[in-house]
Parts: sequence; structure tokens; C-alpha cells
Amino acid sequence: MKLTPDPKQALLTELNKCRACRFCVDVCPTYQVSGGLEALSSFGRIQIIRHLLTGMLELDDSLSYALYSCLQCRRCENTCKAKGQALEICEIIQQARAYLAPDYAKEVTNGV
Amino acid sequence: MASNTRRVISQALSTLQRNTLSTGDPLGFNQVYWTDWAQGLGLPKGGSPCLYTGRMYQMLPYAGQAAKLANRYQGWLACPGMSQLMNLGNRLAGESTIRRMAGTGGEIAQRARRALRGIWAGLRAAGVGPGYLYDAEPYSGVLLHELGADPGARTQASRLAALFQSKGIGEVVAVDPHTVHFLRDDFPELLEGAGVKLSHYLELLAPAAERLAPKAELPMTEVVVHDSCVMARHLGIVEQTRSVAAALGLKVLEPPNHGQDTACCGGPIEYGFEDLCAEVSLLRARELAGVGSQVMVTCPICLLNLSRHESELGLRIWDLGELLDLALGGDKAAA
Ligand code: SF4
Ligand code: SF4
Repeated sequence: MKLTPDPKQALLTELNKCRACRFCVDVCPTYQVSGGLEALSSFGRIQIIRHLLTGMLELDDSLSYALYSCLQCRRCENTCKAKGQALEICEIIQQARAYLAPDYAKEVTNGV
Repeated sequence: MASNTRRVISQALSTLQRNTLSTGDPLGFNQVYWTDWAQGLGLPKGGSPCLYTGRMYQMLPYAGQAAKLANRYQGWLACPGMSQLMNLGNRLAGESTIRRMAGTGGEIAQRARRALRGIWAGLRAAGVGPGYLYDAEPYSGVLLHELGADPGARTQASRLAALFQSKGIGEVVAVDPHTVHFLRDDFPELLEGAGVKLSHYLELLAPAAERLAPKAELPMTEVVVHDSCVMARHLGIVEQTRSVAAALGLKVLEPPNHGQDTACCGGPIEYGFEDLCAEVSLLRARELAGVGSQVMVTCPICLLNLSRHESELGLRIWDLGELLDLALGGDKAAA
């Protein structure tokens, strides 16, 4: 997934490949141990990112929890690929962290 | 923790970034802690190929303590103004505190030391015979990248590439999958630009597996192999692990979810999501325990996280490096 020159558009383009089949959800370890909390699944995370990018949602503590608790384990990607879509889910989540929360490394210094 | 997640992540990222960029070490340690494992081995200083540990194994006893501290102070971060105070008093989780809590490092430090000596012994048996940079070995920046702080990660990785280039090192052998993936796949232009070829040690050991005939008997005849996510899915190293285990005379038992479909040990989120991390690692440890009690891993993060469930589930988690050390006699070979 190439992010330049427009990271937001690149993220949305990649997100738009998702068919919402949810095959990736069941294999996500954080979804499994949360007792089936959709926000802590792969599909849940990419929906959150989509809505953060389009301004439907604002990045608060709960959504930060969803975004940063991803293990980057790529198990969801394997399933997505096997089902024929091959979204770069980990890359989406990691780039979203960098794009949506660029100040996280500075916020403490500035006093959140 | 959801009520103060932003502060927790900010604190973790700021501390990691500040530590890495100011001291060159993610823990912010000034005192060298990453060379003890090589004592007495007589590795040549520098030269190509060069063994690059990335400090990941050596960090294990301290990383566990740092994560414990970070998780302990999470409640405080919810209080207004406390994040600023924590920032000023960042040394709450500073070198002396973490060192004191880790003591001599305990068993995990011994295992990490043994794993590195075993990896070196394996490489030597395979005819690679790498050198080592000792205290001049920098940290890679991988943890910053994994938390999405790429500018800091790039700065640190650039320093590393420049160092290899300045020392005329064209071949580097790294020991953990996270560091290899970060340097080879996430910022490939940095090492390529410096004319450096990076390998994971298993990529060199597997083709030379017939040279790894054990000199000593291992305490088990079969192992359950836990594939690290990064190793299997990012680097595609699956068969190499099995051929090296087989060369040591071990029968490989496959757990549910193995190879490309492996399940995570939970480690990557330990820094701020202790409960979730513990539940993910327990889930995986139970899967492994259902197949056998002797488990083999190939990643320091898996070693640390899965070993936490050893007594509860009657497991022993071995790093492949430890088994190489036992089989090839890293300590004896150095004598
Ligand atoms: S498997 Fe792929 S296409 Fe299906 S929901 Fe998950 S990300 Fe979307
Ligand atoms: S990479 Fe993240 S979203 Fe995908 S399965 Fe792992 S924890 Fe879930």
C-alpha cells in the first residue's frame, strides 16, 4: 500500500477493497479473548478507521484502545487473502495510527 | 484501561522515542547491558558477516519490568496533570528503578543469554563464523515502528545503516524476526543504500542443517513448535525452523494453528494492554499445552510471553537458540 502523496486517500482506497464478508473476524486473537467484541476485531478496526477518516467518528480513548490493541499479527490478512481480497489490514492499522494520531508521541510533553 | 488509553499510549510512545533518540536505547539505559552473552566466546570485533542482536533478547528481563511499571502507573495517568508530572518524572521508569526491579535478571536473562550463545554456536557450526560489534552495536528502532512512530524509527534505522557502512560490513545476520522484518521489509532502502545484505540466522542454518549434528543429548526427543507471527507470516520462515529442529534430532509436533496460520503470543501489546496481552498468550499457551509440554519458539517476545504460563500449564518454553546451545555446546566450544 503506497501512502504518498495523499495518505488519507491511499487508506480509503485500500479500505474500499473490503467486501464486509467478516471472514477475518473469527481468527483475530483480540476478538477471541474479548468474548466477541467487534471493535477489537480486524473488520471492526478497519470500520473504525474508515469512520475516523471520513469524520464520522473522533479519536477518543475507546477508539484509541481499538486501534492500538491490534497485535499486528497478520492472521486476519491470511484469511482475507485466502478469501480472495488480500487487504493489507496491518498496514492500514499501522498507517492509520501514524496518520490519525501523529501527536501521540508529543502529547505528554504538551500536557494532554 | 479504555478511559485513559490516549495518555497511556502517549506516555509509552514519548518515553520510547525520547529514550531511543537521546540514548540510542529503547529503555534509556546508558550502561551497556547487551554484551554479557558474548563473554568468553572470542567473537571477532566487527568484520563481515556481522552478528546483529538488536538487543531484543538482552532486553527481556528489563522489558518485563518496564511493562509492569507502565501498567502499574496507568491509573495515575487518568488524573489531570499527572501525565505532565509523569513526563517530568519519567525516571520513575528509569534505568536504576528498572535495573533494581530486574535484579540479576532471573531465569529469563539466563535463557536469553543461552539463546544468543546457541545461535552463535549454530552459525559457527554452519561455517558462518560472524563477528560482533559488542558495545558499539546500536538498537534498530523496531519498537517505535511497531507503535506507528515512524520518523523516530527511521532515524534510528538510518543510524544503524550508516554504522554498518562506515565499518565496511556488507553482510549482517540478525537473530529475531521483528528486527529482520523491520529492517528488510519496512525500510528496505536504508540497508540496501548502505550496501548491506541482512539475513535471519535460520535462513543460514537451514541450508547447512547437516552440519548441526548434536554433540550432546537434549533433555527431550520431541518439541511442539510455536511459529512466531512475524517469522511465519511476514518473513515466510517456517520450514527452516523445522529442518534445524530435525537436525538436532528432535521430532516436531505441530499444534493447532501452525506455520502461516500460527496464533499470536500476545507480546506486541504488553507495553500498555497487560490484561489483553495475558489473555491472548494464555489462549495460545493452552493450545500448545494440548499437544506437548516441551515447546520450542524462535522469537524473544514469544519466549517471554509464553514462559509466563509455564507453571500454570506444566510447560517448558525453549528458544531454539537454547537448544542449539545445549546440543552444540556453545559454552564448551568457547572454552
Ligand atoms: S476478510 Fe477481508 S474483505 Fe472480508 S471483512 Fe475481512 S478485511 Fe474485509
Ligand atoms: S493483525 Fe490485528 S486485527 Fe489482524 S488478527 Fe491480528 S490482532 Fe486482529
